[in-house]
Amino acid sequence: MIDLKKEINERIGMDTILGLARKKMVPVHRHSVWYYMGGMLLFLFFIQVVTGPLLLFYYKPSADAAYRSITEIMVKIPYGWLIRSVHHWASNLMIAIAFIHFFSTFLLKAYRRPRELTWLTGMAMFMVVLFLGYSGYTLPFDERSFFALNVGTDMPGTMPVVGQYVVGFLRGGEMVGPQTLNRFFALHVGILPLCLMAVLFVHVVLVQVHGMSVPLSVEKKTALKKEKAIAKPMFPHLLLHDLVNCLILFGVLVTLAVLIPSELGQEIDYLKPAPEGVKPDWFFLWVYQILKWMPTYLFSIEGEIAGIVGLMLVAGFITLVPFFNRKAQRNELSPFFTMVGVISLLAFLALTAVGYFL
Amino acid sequence: MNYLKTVKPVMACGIFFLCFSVFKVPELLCQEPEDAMTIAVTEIKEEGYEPPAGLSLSDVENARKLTNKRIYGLAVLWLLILLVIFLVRIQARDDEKLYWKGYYSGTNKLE
Repeated sequence: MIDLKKEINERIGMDTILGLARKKMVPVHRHSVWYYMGGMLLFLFFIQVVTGPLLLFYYKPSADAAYRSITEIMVKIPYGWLIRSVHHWASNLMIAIAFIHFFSTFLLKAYRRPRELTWLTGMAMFMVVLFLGYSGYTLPFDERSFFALNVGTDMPGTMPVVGQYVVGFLRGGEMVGPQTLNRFFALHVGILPLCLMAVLFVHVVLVQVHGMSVPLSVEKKTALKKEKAIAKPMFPHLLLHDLVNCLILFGVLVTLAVLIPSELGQEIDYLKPAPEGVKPDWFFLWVYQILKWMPTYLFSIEGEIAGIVGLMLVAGFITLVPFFNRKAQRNELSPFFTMVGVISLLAFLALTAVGYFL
Repeated sequence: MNYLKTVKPVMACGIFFLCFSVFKVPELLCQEPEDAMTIAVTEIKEEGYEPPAGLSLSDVENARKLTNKRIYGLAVLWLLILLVIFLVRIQARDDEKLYWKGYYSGTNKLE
């Protein structure tokens, strides 16, 4: 009999990989739970990579066939409803966990030296994941996605200088039409996943190189007590915990897909006016609510333009936070940035709730 | 020798398929595609022809409905997940003991 383990080991050096994983230590403390978010995101991305191509076998990316093909996936294709619903819920959970990962990293100041690049790649992935969610929402080409495309592609138009070019690029013309669907399809299944995979690779490599960041409060407490920080090997400890998390996540995902399967709206009627109270998907509700509350004019600038420029400035500030937070770079506590994080989190939750319920 | 024992049947299968393709492929390639340019009779619209009714939103809503079969499937899935989690937890607890005994830090007190 062939010793399969030995044969595989001889070819790909499994022992070396496991040896490295055993040597890699992961700090254990009261904030360790936040370390699992990355693994869960990776697992959900894997689910998307598996279910996406399965849908691609039947989805027809043209304005006159897209809606019908989704109907067929839901009704005729065996387990099509389940695959589509799992894809839909996995994307929603992925965005939700990406938000948790973002806020936990921000609040624990895990972007401190030497992890600035890890933070920047994380922010880039966050943007791509949000855009992946939005582009996926538009693909059924039903009434909801049509109005989401109209509103969503109109917003970049308010950006100074480049706005109209971005709108033209996204729409493939002046108006939202069949060509817009083709562009969003290409972005959703080709360009964005490739970008995500490339940045993800760099992000994961950087996490492996620098290891997990230990929060300043934990570092100081350990130093004060003159205790040795507890660290456990990544393999098998962290991976076994990751496995349990992913199993529970998978169960939750399938449960959501079965209990609340993905919906499909009415077929597009190009002549129909936009219904009242059209809202974006939940992860953009906070943006929608801010823009809704903006006055018509703010300091003689159009309210919407002021809102979008303001949001872009905030996004820029958050992206470059490792370079602004000097105290954290010197390994000192920075309560101001903690406060910024807490206020941002509360504002995000409140605005999303208001946008959803009102 | 063991290695060859496994490889031999695979090679035999490979040779078989190769032979099959050598004899079959030219024949397949030379075949004229039948009725390639002919429109099937059923596709020609006649007077009074009505296209088959397409799928409607109510069909989609029916497909989304929660059935007993789906609830059963969900229950089985959760049972399996809980079983695997139980096994993984046993393994994790075992590893935890080994960790505290120094097995992973190179100060193995077991040996």
